[in-house]
Amino acid sequence: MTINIGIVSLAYCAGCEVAIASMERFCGLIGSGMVRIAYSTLLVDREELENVDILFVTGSIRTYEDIAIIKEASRKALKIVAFGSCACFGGIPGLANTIEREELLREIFSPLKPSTTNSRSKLTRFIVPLNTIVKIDYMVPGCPPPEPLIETLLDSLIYGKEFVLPKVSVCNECPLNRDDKKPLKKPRRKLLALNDIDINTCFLKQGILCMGPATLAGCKALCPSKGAPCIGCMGPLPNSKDQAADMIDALSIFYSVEPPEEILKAIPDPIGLLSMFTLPYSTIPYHRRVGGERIEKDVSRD
Amino acid sequence: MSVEPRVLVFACTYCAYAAAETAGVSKLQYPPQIYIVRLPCSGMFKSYYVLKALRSGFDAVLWSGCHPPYDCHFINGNYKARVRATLLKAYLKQLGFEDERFRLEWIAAGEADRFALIAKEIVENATRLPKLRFIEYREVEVK
Repeated sequence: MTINIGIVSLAYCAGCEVAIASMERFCGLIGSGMVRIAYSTLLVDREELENVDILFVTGSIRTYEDIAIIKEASRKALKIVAFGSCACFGGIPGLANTIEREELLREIFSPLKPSTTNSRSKLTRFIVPLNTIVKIDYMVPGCPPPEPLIETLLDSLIYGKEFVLPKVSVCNECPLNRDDKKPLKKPRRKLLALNDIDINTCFLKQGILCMGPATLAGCKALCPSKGAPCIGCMGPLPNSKDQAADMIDALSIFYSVEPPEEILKAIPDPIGLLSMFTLPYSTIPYHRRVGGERIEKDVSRD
Repeated sequence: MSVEPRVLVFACTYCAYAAAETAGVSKLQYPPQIYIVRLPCSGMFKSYYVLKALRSGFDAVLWSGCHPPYDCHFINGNYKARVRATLLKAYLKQLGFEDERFRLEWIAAGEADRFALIAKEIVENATRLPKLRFIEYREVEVK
């Protein structure tokens, strides 16, 4: 029996497709004829999406065309997998929810003349996670999804094993030493691993922002164990929707700073650092200007 | 019948809630628009509560706990609340909320008049602010 896989890419960077195509296990499955890629704009030469068993959706929903594509594709698939943080939570493009779309276009395309043919698809008012548009069966977060997680997904698709996301945070899997329980007095602004840090000690204990406490496990602490702090790509824990709120709670326990304003020196951009991948998924998913304050105006213009 | 604006107050049992009770006992007037939620300690106040409250229709949120440094019943809960509030204020500011929407105040158990004063102040500020409106996810599909 061959399992047909379709990969639909919305606003994407091709990282997720590369992650799945570079897996030895996946290539072996294709070689043995267990799995066939029926549609992918990046990996195979096929014009139209046929009926598939599994539909992988990568990338975030940025234009009205994306919404139309995913609605059309969902009718041809038995199961839908939100693959990667962009499809699950909105991802890095989701940070554009802090800026109005008109302002966004003006900022980037202002020296260029707008197209007169009207063929350009319109940006949505804000980015939404995939599960608000279509019903999804599996959620595989990560940027790109870590290999152990994809393997569990393939196992569940082929052998019918149950696919469950982990229920613990990255800190549970992290090998770094965090025996010292005292809260820290002086946070410092260092995002990337530098020379003067100890790579065997917890980053938060050294005053470096690491998103581990508020991030879902599953990657086997890939970044922290290699000397780089976690940036939170796996999204929030299962009982929460707000990664940033969780992390703010965690930071207040790790950092006991005096005066409290000192903490803003370490975290100057709370949205960009604490909800880098999950802003459209959280409780307040956009800047107030983007959602709500100008509804009547927007409707009349459209 | 609901009263506008609505203000959610998180109060710790040992100081702020006791102050609110003292205010009631000593017949001090404070506005009916405030809804008090009692929690064990200000270290218990989670950032999510504020985001959820603003999203579900409250106009402003007040956190009130014991005075630093030594009033907290659980030694350092108010220190945690302080760092949390600083970060949360910065986060809310980036999301376009006014500063008056969220406030952290220290109220000791005996300061009933201070509780009434702050309650009046925050309701007065909230009256001046526009009502919060959020569009739902499904409305994004309408062009």
